[in-house]
Amino acid sequence: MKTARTAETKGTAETAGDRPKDEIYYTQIVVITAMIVFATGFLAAARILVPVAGTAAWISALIGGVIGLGIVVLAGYLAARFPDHSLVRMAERIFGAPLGKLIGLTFAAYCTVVLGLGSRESVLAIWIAFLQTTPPIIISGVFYALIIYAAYLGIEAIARVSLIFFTLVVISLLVLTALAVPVVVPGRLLPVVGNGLRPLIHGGFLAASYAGESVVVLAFIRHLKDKRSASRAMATGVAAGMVVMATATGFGVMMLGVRGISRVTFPVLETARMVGFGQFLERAEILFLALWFSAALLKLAAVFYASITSVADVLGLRDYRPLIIPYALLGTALSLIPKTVLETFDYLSMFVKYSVWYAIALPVVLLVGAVVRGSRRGGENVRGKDAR
Amino acid sequence: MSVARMRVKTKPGAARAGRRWGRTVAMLVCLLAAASVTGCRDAREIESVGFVLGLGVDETADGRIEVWAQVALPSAKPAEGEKQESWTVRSVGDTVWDAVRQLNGRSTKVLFRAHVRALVFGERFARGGVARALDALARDREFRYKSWVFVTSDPVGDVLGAQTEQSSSAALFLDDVMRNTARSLTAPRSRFLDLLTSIEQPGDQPLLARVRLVESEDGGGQPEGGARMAEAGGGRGAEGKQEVGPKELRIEGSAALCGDKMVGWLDAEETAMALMVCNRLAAYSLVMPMPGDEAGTMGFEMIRSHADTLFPKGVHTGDAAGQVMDVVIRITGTVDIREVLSSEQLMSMRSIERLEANISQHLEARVKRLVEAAQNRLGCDIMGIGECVRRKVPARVWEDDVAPTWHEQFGAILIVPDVHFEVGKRGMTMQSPRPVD
Repeated sequence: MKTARTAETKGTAETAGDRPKDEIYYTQIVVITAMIVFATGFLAAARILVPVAGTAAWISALIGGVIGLGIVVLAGYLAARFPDHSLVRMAERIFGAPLGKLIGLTFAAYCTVVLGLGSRESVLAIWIAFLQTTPPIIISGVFYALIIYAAYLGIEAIARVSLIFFTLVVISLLVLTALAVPVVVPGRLLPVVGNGLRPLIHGGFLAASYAGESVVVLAFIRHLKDKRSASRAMATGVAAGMVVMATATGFGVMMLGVRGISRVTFPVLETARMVGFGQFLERAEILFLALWFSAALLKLAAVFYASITSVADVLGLRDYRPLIIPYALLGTALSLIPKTVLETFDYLSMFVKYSVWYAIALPVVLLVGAVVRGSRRGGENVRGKDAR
Repeated sequence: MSVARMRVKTKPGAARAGRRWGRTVAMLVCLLAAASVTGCRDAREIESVGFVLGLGVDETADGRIEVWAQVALPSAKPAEGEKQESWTVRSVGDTVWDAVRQLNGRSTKVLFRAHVRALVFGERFARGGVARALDALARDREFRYKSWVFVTSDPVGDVLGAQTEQSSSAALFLDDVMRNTARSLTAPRSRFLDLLTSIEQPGDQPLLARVRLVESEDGGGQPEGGARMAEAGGGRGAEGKQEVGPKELRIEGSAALCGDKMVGWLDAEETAMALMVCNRLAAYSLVMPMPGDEAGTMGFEMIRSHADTLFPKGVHTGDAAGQVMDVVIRITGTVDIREVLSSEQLMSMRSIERLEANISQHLEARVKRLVEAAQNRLGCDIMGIGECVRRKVPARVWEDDVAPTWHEQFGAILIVPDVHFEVGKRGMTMQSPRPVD
């Protein structure tokens, strides 16, 4: 009772790290969600999905998208129930402060792992393919310097820049797809069901872990101007992100074959290395990677922002900014834990295998809790309100 | 009172100055950090980079690996006729990578392999297995998967050292031919990527373009070729003798590989048929006797063809895999008449039908010859029949039951070609111009 009262007295205005002036629009949530889903994962998703689902890996990505849609619909319901709350505040409102903070900590930990693995993957893609003699810590440092700046400016700035870069990234992917058409062999996608129905579904759940990363948006969905469209915006973002993922996987299989794609380090990068236009647009992969790097950067900035605002909420801080530098140092350190490429992909496989269950459980637990306890927007208790 | 007022005025000013300093320091730190990541610290000037255009790999008689690199030598003035435009260097090592790293030691420039246009394997190396070169090249972040791959029975050094008047180096010549004359080429457009993907598929074995040195037909087309070849190849000819006289490069026919090992050559006609069966033949021209007029001839150009691999009795796998299956290769297409040297001018429907039947029979006989070569002489599936089976059966069945024994099964399959071609355009004239008798 006391716990519930404590939570109620804090209310929405005291949400830690809250920047009331920050406003995000429908399209920006779509874009941020899509970027969170595909921006780092699509570099190597094919080499995780293809060994499981074979030639049907692209269908697995679509199945993962469908599972992801289920997750964001639940998350959308949750956001609609608590339109002015961050995820930690929602959890506190539903389960009380101690348990709510614990859930908030697990969410912050989830975001931190996404951040660490995502940044490591992006740094590796640049380090292995382009800047071999540059120490990875420098690349990682540059990454985090930009992320710090983005986090300092707030989610509105990240959302606005994402809108600009998303357009460029989509154009780059369309160009890449068009240029790849002459070198692909569509027959390599056969047999349609690949290794069979069970592996296909298994692959779908692996792919769903990428779609499930969209729960990160719950940390800042309260900034959405039109609160009613949260569910639709997130669902559209997941659909767009997973279509990109499925296309990248499908083209990878058509170009390199099942065995080839399991062998290469970054299948999408190999696709970019293969394409060209005549003899005057060659070695253009750096252009693609520069754009993808920007997308990855914005994704990681959004995830970083979600992490620090959640931690600030858990700690009851009024402003998240004092956490930026320490958290960036933590992120840089985490991204350097996997010493080798093999180790990175091992961690990644582990994450992909299990994180989907967290992404499903989080909105389900909160929503069920909210329904059972009758919690609703603004901290009002539905049952109490009805009783009054 | 006045001191207190001064303090009140000074504090915000000091804070502003502090912030300004802070920003300046932050900016300087960012600039310094940016300088460290641009690569300027150990930048390479373009003059110190050796752009490798062609790579050659062969095996010596004692089993060591020879590697050649053809490096572009760009000059400031385009009209410097006397200056060599490319330089070919050779090294020997225990493995491909060992030989490549020794190449680096022999060059004054940093060898940069991102512009390799042609990769030429010697026959001895190809017969021993090209996988020995694939690993080192596939790992190389500079090497491109779109480089053309060739096999030659001539000394690799001589092939790379051959000079043509059309291009500044042999590698560029090979690249130009593969890019620009695809429709008239009777060789597969084999890229490194195709080689990588097909050696792993027993049902879709690689065909690599063959490049040869042939006597120049015009006699004086390449005056410097012999001397340059001798320099590049260490003065060795096909039998270790000094080659004299102009020679030119010709891309024709192909080398058939079983897995990564070369098992034999296909001539131009067999290669064209193999490409037609795999739906990779862009165009093909042929000359044949005129039906009903043995003295006359006709020239055709195949402008379209499509092959379907059919399994009339279904695809048997598992226990029935030993029984294999019957395969019908149905090929349909269109030919355009390009030349008629005969009194028969094909002005009736019946003569056209007879011509179409004749062309179909002609091509069917050649496909049969290819099937015989693939099943008996080479013993590997260069026609992609296994790939068609792979697409029809579950992936696990293919991987576990069929693929491991596909080479043996392929030899026992009954393959029946069924070719139907029709005559399309006859050109801008209906009949041959001829003088009045």
